[in-house]
Amino acid sequence: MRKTIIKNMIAVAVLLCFSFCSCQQLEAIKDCYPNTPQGNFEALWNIMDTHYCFFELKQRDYGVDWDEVHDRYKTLIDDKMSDLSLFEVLSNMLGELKDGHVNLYGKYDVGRNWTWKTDYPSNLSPEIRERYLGDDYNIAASGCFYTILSDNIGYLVIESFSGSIPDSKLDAILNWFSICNGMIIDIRGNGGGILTEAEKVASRFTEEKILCGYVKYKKGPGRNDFSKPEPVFVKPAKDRLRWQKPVAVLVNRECFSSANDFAVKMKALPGTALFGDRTGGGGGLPFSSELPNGWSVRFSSAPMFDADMNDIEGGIDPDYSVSLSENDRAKGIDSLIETARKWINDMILNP
Amino acid sequence: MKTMIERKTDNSRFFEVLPRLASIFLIVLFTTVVNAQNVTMVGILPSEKEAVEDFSVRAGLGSATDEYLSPNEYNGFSIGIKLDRMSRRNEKKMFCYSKNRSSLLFCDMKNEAGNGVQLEVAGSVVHVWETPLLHYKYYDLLVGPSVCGSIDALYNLRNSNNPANVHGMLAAGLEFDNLFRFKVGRLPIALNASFNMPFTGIFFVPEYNLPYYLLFEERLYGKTIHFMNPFNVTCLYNDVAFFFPVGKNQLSLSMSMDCTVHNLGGNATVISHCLFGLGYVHRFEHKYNGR
Repeated sequence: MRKTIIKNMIAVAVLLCFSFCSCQQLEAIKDCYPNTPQGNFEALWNIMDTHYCFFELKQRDYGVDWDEVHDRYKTLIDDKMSDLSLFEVLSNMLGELKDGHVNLYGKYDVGRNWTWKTDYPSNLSPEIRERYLGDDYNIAASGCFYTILSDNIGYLVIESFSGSIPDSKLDAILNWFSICNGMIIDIRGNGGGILTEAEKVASRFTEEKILCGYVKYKKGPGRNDFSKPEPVFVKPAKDRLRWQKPVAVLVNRECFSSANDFAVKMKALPGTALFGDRTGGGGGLPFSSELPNGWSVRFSSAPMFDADMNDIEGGIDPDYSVSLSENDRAKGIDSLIETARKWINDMILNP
Repeated sequence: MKTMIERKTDNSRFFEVLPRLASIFLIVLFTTVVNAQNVTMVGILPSEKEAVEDFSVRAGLGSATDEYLSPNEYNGFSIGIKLDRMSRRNEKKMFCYSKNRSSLLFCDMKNEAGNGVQLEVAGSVVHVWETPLLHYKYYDLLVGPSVCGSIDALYNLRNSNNPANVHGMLAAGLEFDNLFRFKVGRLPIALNASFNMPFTGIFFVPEYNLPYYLLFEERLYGKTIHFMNPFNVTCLYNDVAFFFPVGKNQLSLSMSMDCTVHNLGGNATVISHCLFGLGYVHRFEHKYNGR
């Protein structure tokens, strides 16, 4: 029996050695922060430092030095400060990045920086858009409306990619527009949503697989620990109706995230042109994490690029820059829709 | 970097794991000094041409920290089922025990702040071939290689962009079974202390910030499959079960603990459970190779 005990103990000791090795290795890597204002501040700064993907870009565009941001905001943290004050300081710190995908979700509010859209004219009048849609427009899905304009051009409004537009509905839209000479897709004000929805719509406008951009992702905590750029393609929707006539896409500064990605994809397709203002951007796939006090933080973690490897975080320029003029607005005319109509009609006459 | 110096390293998690590991040690030690008494046919060990099944319903506590989802620890209530099946395989003059363990558990967890919910579904199948290393009238020590496949899915209800993470493992390991037979008064009781440690194989976990969208839609697999060894993945399973007769039936009372610790893909993960189970034991005739 003594032999048994010794054998058992040796076996267990060996196994415990393995266990302790791994546990200690893990503890050396893992950092825990206390649930105090200072701990939450350090946790947030560190989460961003090790996971956020646009530091280089933000330094280039806005002069943001994340280390300097740490030192500056650390002086504002006091362990006796209220949750509300802490939230304000942390939100302001994140706001330095001027990234619409960076948010702090607290108990009372969502910390955000929306200057990417609020600093620019929207070039969209919902009242005028409703006038173009008329009273008897069709509804395909929530936030997705369509009608045929008087010069036989299909007009499709996609207000958001947050909800699903079923394939059958897309078939119905394209079928409805089959008599039209061209199509206008109005995504002004579309703040994004599900990326696959944007891809699904774009896949109806190509007959072949087309390179539309690249994507990288963070593969480590270093600020430049990225994977190599991987190509992203628009692939034609299989066994579904596809559109082969001219398409004009209307964009503005409010086109963000997956709407921005939709614009990038559509711009890469032949027979398609973008009209309006530069898009709002949001060219980083977002990720979420959490602070010790339970507040949630969202940030960009996988940068996306266009087909020429230009970053799209700051948006993309339209093919035809058009603003909604005050003169047209007063007359109830949408300058962007009118320019797009003219372009489609010209394309039909001079293909 | 400056913050690497300023950051505090909290070893509390290590000291949380320590008692669990220590308990494994104590349990095994305890089982070796239990005063064995008369032999009876209770327990999971089958005799020749016999198989034993122990189906148990389990409940207890679970804990998970998965940095891919959140650096915070989530704790909660676990429920699950487990089926142990053991049969004896005769090969000429040699024989070995063939053991299957299938388990499924669900865990509903909350973070310390109480404002985050994380759900877990985990399943595993383990197959062990054990031979008696030591055999006494009241005690058997079985040791043998094991193969296991497990999948552990975590779903964080707060994360909209990276809501879920999956850990999958296909590994080879070792299993130890300490089997004691003794009596408490006139009641024959068997005690089975099992210990399993997968130590090599392949482990699936996404790389650092690789979103599942890129994994599935764009087919960017990155380094999602890792070769595991005892120094990059610690995976322990420990189960202590008492078997005792109730009328003509046999029941089991068990306590099992498991712990998976790794830092693969750049995100630290610690998942552990402690479950108490009540099982029904069924012995039946089993023929191997028609014999």
